[in-house]
Amino acid sequence: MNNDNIIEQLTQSEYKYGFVSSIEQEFAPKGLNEDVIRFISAKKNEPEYMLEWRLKSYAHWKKMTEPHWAKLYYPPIDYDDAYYYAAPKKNLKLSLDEVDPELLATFNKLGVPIEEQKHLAGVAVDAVLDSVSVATTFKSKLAELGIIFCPISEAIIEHPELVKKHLGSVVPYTDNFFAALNSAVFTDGSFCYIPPGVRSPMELSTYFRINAASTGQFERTLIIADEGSYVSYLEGCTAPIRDENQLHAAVVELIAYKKAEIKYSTVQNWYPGDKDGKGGIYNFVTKRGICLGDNSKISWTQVETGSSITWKYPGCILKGDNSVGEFYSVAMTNNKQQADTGTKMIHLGKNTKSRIVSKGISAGKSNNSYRGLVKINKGSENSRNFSQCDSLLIGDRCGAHTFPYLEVSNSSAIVEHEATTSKISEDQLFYFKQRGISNEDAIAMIVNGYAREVLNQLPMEFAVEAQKLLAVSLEGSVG
Amino acid sequence: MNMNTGFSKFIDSMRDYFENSNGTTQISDFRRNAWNEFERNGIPTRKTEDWKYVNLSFIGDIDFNYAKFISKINDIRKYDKFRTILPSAHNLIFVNGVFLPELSSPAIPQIEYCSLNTDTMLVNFSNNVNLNNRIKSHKNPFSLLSEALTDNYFSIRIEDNVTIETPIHLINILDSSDESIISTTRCNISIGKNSEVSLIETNYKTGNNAGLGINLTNIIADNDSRCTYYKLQSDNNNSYFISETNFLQNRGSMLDSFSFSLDGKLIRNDLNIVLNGSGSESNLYGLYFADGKDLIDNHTSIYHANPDCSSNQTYKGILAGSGTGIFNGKIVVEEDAQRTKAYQSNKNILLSNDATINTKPQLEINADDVRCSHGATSGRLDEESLFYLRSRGISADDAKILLLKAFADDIISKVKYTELQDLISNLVSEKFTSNGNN
Repeated sequence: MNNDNIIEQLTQSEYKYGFVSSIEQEFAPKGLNEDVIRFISAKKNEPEYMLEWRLKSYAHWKKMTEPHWAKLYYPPIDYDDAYYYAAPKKNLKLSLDEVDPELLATFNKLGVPIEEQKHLAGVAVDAVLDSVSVATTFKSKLAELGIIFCPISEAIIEHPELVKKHLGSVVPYTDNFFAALNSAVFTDGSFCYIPPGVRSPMELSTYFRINAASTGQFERTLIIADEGSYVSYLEGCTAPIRDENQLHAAVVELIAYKKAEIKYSTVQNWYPGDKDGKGGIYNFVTKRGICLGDNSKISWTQVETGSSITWKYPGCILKGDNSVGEFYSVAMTNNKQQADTGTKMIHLGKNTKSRIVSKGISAGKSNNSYRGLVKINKGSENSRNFSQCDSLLIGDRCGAHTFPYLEVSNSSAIVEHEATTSKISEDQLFYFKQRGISNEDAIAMIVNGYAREVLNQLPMEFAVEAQKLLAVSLEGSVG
Repeated sequence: MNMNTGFSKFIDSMRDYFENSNGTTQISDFRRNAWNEFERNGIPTRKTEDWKYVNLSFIGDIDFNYAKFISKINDIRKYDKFRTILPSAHNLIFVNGVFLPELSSPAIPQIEYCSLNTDTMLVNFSNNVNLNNRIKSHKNPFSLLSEALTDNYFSIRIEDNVTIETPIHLINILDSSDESIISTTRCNISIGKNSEVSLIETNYKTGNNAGLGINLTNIIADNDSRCTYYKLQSDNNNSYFISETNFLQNRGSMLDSFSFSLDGKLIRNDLNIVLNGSGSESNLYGLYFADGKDLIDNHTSIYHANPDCSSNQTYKGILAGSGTGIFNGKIVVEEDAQRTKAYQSNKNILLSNDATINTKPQLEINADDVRCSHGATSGRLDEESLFYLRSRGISADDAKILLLKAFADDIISKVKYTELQDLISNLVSEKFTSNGNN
């Protein structure tokens, strides 16, 4: 009936998952210097090679300047005013029953199905609260197949040869400012290795949480799929309300060997800040996968609804012949959120294919940008790319922007890019109303239909949560 | 912040010219400011977003001097041949940035033009906030150089309510017979209310030394005016052309813009359009063909500043040899520009594996009631179409040329001035023939 009302409600819906769990934490001193890095490394009982790598990264980071090319506006970040290490003190790593009950309650509030895991089966959760892995389930079951799924801090100690070979091979510490910072101070994350020919029997899943006040969380994820293997990895995030901006600079590296396939799905619902843009997470993520061997495949799917600032470009380097890269994204921004996200597809091998489907939804006073690169190298014969970037605008004070870069150096490559921008039209709403469907339901249905192409790519458990998230973001209009 | 010392000689030489031109003409604050800004920014490097694909090292390698026209050239009749390129047009000839009335077509009543070193119109253009606020963030550094160094501003004023039947042809000639030269022009054109005009800008070079021509053209199209603007660059004679054309379109005005970049070691065209009045419309067409080691870079920016405007862009490119094509098309829909329609398409054909296309269609949308779309493609000639033609007894080369012609004709056939259409058609055919046989 009244579009303005709906838009107002939509743009004012409060963050549902805002709460702080009062778990005692252990902090490293505020600020960043070599001592803090040594402290983190020592806390993690890391071998010498890691400390060296961290210090090299730190030395390189000091020489770099923060990038500002993205269409993002935020106050300068004081890197010396953050804690780089925080760990829950009552850290129990044994069975699920011994985990701090308050922590479990926190996850339950978020809807993380740790308690239900045993019954639901099919999802192994490596739950990360701030920086230390607290509970790992289904580890033994995976171990039978030879799959290594553990916190990266554990892998550094127990599988040094795998870590040494692969860590930083896709995202070197010299890659960019935030990757260098992450390499120096990362505290935990997930490590996953799928041996040759193994198909992971369940979706691997991790929940990231940012909990302690002003703690930058620096996660590092490394997934290696050996020859002919398959893995589907889920990452989901929610964070409690904070009035101080929180910095998050994660690095995710995927490596797919010959005929291997990695499917990486993300649902991101961090605190986006209140309706005036106060608080909220700063999310500067470097995600990149490499299709190292022939006939390999990497697929990224993301649903981004949170963070006040998103700076994220999951990419694929298609090195092996006949390799495939995919990127499916729904990015929703509201209030004063800003998202600058997209992908990079670098075609090196012959007959490589990539597909990009990006759906942006902007509401309120938010800004949503797609920024992507498709690069076809000279030797990449018969490569193919298709990109589609659509933007949906809800309200007249939001912005939707597209910055696609197409660089083609091979005549046999076919590259196509298309983008459209539109709003929910009166015609569409009229059609729904004619059939007795309220305005609110109509908008929700249109948005869901608009994002369907991407949501369909998510594994079942996540598709449900993603739809829930879109509904929450649309709250007020859908009730 | 120019850290590249390779350009310091060039900048020093330009500075000498700038400071010494004080003797002949007054250096206004405007020129001084432009110079200061140029010197502050320096020559763009690969790290400058707007120039990331362009190799400008030739500026440091070639010993460019600012063109001194008056003292060097005595026989102006040698430029006569340029009048025959488009004999039926109203030809205005510029050599090394200086207007030559002796060679140009005789003046006609509805058009008022003059070459001056002070001009009130200059002030109008330079202080036009609607135009300048939008383009200043990506100001072409070479345009600053043109603003700082050009002594004579050429201006054309078209009265209200007139239809100029004869197209106005501005011929920019670089004469590098004596030395490698850089020459700059500044041209201001204002089109009166409800008037109609066709403008053609072409670039040529004579002489065997290198030549860098920098053209800055500002056009204000008043209410309900109709303008067709053609730019043709086809000169493969060690020539470098960098140009910026700015349009400010007032209420209800119509613009058809054509850009044909067919030959030149380096061609860089910035086309900025501000749709400043509601109901105004722009149609942009472009065809570029880079072969050899040519680099052709087209940057277009369309600012939808008011509601109910529409823009349409079709740029097509053919890249052969080791040629490089760059297309950067930006559409900005500002906050209150509701009911905007903006379309853009960029299609490219690569004929060789040494050719490269870098395209970046860009949308920045800040209003919700808009219909905007863009598309960009790159590929080679369709194998099936080639097969179809070959199965009917057409040789491989002919089939290739036929398909390329069809691709280019999309743009060429839209040229309304037949003499120009024929000229372009012939130039393109020649290029196809020379590239089709390898």
